[in-house]
Amino acid sequence: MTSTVRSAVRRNEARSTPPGASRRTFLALGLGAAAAVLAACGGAPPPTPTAAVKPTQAPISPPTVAPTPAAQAPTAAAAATSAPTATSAPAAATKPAAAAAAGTAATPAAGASPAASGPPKRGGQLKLLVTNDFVSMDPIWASGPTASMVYESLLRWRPNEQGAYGVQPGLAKSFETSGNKVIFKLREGVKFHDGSDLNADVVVWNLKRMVQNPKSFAKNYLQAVDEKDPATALDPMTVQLNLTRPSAAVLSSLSNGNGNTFIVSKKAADDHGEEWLKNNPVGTGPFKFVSWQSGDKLEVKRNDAYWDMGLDGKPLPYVDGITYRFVVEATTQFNEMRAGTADMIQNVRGRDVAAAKQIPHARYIESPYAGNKRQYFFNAVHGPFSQDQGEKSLKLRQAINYAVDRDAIAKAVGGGFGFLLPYEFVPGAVGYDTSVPYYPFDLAKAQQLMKEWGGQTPLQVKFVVHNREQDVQQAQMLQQMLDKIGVKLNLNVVERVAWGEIVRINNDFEMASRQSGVALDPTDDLLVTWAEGGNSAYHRAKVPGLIDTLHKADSSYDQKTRHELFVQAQKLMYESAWFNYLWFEPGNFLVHKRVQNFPATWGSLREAEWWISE
Amino acid sequence: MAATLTAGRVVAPREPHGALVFVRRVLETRLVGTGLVISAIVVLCAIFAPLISPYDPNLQDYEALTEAPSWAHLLGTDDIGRDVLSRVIYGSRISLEVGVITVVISLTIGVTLGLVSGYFGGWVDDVIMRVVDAIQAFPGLILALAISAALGPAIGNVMIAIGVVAAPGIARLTRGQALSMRERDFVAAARVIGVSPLAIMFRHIWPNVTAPIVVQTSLLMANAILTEAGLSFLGVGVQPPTPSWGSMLQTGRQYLETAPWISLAPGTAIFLTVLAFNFVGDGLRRALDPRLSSRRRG
Repeated sequence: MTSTVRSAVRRNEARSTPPGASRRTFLALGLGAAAAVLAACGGAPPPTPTAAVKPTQAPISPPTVAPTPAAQAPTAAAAATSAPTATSAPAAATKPAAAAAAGTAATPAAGASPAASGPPKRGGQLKLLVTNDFVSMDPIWASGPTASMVYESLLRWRPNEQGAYGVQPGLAKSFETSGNKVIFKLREGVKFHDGSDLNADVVVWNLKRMVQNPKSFAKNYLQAVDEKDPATALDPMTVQLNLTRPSAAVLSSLSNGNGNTFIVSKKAADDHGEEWLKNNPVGTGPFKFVSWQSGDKLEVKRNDAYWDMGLDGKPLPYVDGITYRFVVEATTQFNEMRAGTADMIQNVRGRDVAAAKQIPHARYIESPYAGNKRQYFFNAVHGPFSQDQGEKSLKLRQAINYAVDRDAIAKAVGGGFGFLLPYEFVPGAVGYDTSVPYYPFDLAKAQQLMKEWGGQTPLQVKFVVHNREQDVQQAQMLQQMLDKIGVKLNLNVVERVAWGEIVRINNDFEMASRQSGVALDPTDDLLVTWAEGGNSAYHRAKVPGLIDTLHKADSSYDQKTRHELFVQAQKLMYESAWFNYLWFEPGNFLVHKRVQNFPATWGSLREAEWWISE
Repeated sequence: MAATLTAGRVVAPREPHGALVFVRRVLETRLVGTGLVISAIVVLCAIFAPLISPYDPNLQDYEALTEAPSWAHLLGTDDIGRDVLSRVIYGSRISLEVGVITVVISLTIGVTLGLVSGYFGGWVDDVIMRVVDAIQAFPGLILALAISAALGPAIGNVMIAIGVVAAPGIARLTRGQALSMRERDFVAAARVIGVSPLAIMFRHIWPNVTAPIVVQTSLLMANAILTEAGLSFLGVGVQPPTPSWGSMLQTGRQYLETAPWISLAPGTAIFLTVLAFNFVGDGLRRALDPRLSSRRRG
């Protein structure tokens, strides 16, 4: 699945892209980085493995995703990469810390060397397998994977030379933040696949449709952008983005790590209508669209007129074309990889990892960014958990949360690979703090709270579950755990589209489970989950003060302030008990050894830079 | 009723007791005996499941995930630590339940439509048979899948779906038999003395057309079990955690390499049960087929 493919689905699906290093390396290098960043930023002390609340509930050892902190300073990284233009003072202040720390942390992550051998070769076709079908070829409509390889964004989400993740120039050759404005200078000579030019008018048109279209998914990630007047063309190649408040997340939202904010051809929309774009992507990216059959495959070919250069001094990409085949079964994907009929798969299940490492013609690469957090939530509108029952339903929700043994779920469903994670924030990220309370497994307390709740048992609860293998296993375990406190979960196992319909559109559930990836910036996911009308605000709960706190966190460029505000937000989330975070399943890749140079980074696979050695 | 039928056709004198002959004929081949034994085991498992299962089929032991067969778990444990043997035993309940109820549904619909169609003939026959043709034009599993998907995933809906899909076959079979019975003298006699059509259909024609339907029923049972497994495998059947052979197979498929026992046990159970009902059906067919029996006798 392509970069965007996954990243677009950040709410429900895995975030993408990993570095080419083993988890062990991360563990070793990450610890120092996490400590350095947090110390430098004056944030909370780095969580230590011994900070476990209870032996059975020990939160994950912190270093696992340690390179993350570096990435949590988008503006800082931006400052590093576009030094002459960046004017945001607070960003500059955090820059040295982030850069220095990340330099240590991300060396193995950023380096393409582990996966490359010899000079680049050109030609050949890549065969990649994707788990989630493409949803729409028009990025603003894509609630799931889209044709990311056909498009480009204003910015790129990449590690810099020191390895610090952040935004770097993309279609915008430079950018500058000041107050409520971001000024983008566009790259000259870039052409869309239909021959039209990239210019300020096109970008303004794109930004407007992202923000003003009522059904746009991009809008959720650009909440700080002024909806009435999102952007202005200052001259043919300069665009000004208008904000209603400063926003630390807006730059990462406009990077290619976000699959909803790609720049599409205005000419294509003018010629054929916007509806046509849903099936016909026209971008400036390294690959041109060939064909797409929903439920089957997406084919793309080389864009000979691509502007970015390869290591051999000629235009990228190296390969002639790519076929992305949609194969939903993890086992089928794994068997294809073993048979050598695919060049890459993602998210090998824990039970297959040992076998994956034994495949002679494949490389196994773990990624802390591509993982999935799993959680369940309650319906705040109606049913036994509803908001109007106040304190009473809160007790019931708390009782359920105390009755869940996360550790057992992580071990059983994670196949020796998953680990307990009771927070929205992954270890190492700004906002991750083990001082944030959570509901540990405590059956006696759960039973006590059930008594205080005082309703009739057994309580029948409609639990809507996506038919993903892990979700179904997890649901059955929850069923047994909650049975002990008199809560009977009636499972309603449905496929993805039906899940969205039941939970998001019809609000016909009492409890439901979901997964979410590792967001580029935590504000993104939290606002989408908690703001009224947000893409993932399925529970429809209102927690006083939460949105304000998140907006404040977004408006600050100071890492320490942000960290504190995120901790405060998490406490509000904990107290209201609408969500319960369960465990984390780290991501991984299995890549054919004929594929050289695998620089996939957080947020994109960068297929244009792969070459085939034979 | 089979005996009656046999008796009605008896030509040879000194035939031993009708029922005995029938039983002997059913058991003529060893396959039928095998079929009956396996069916009996499945039925006993279903009835006495709580007594013979070593564990609660839904009890999860997180210390024993995907464990290979051992003395503690004779057929091993599944992905979330449940005893596979217990689940296979309890699974027989679902399979039989689906088999029996499906047969009842399809017999009720099929026999009624078949009798009405065959007895009245004319436009009634035309209408009913065209509807039957239309339903039969769809592949059975696909139609059952569509009906279950439309009604929502639940065991009751699976039964309705399979029952509705199987009914046209029964209707067609009954109609064919009723059509030939309609012209017989005893039916004409009943009509003459003013017996109502309903009474003629169910009191006079039905007892005389049961033989092929009994055979069809046992085959239908096998088919229903297989279809239920298929639907559960595809996720529109029984909902977790209810132990169903089809859904167990679905879970186990992901573990074919690392824990083959999860799918092997329910797979074998489906295979043997379906085979057993087919053997029994085959035996019944042989016993009830007048041509086969006269050839044997002649």
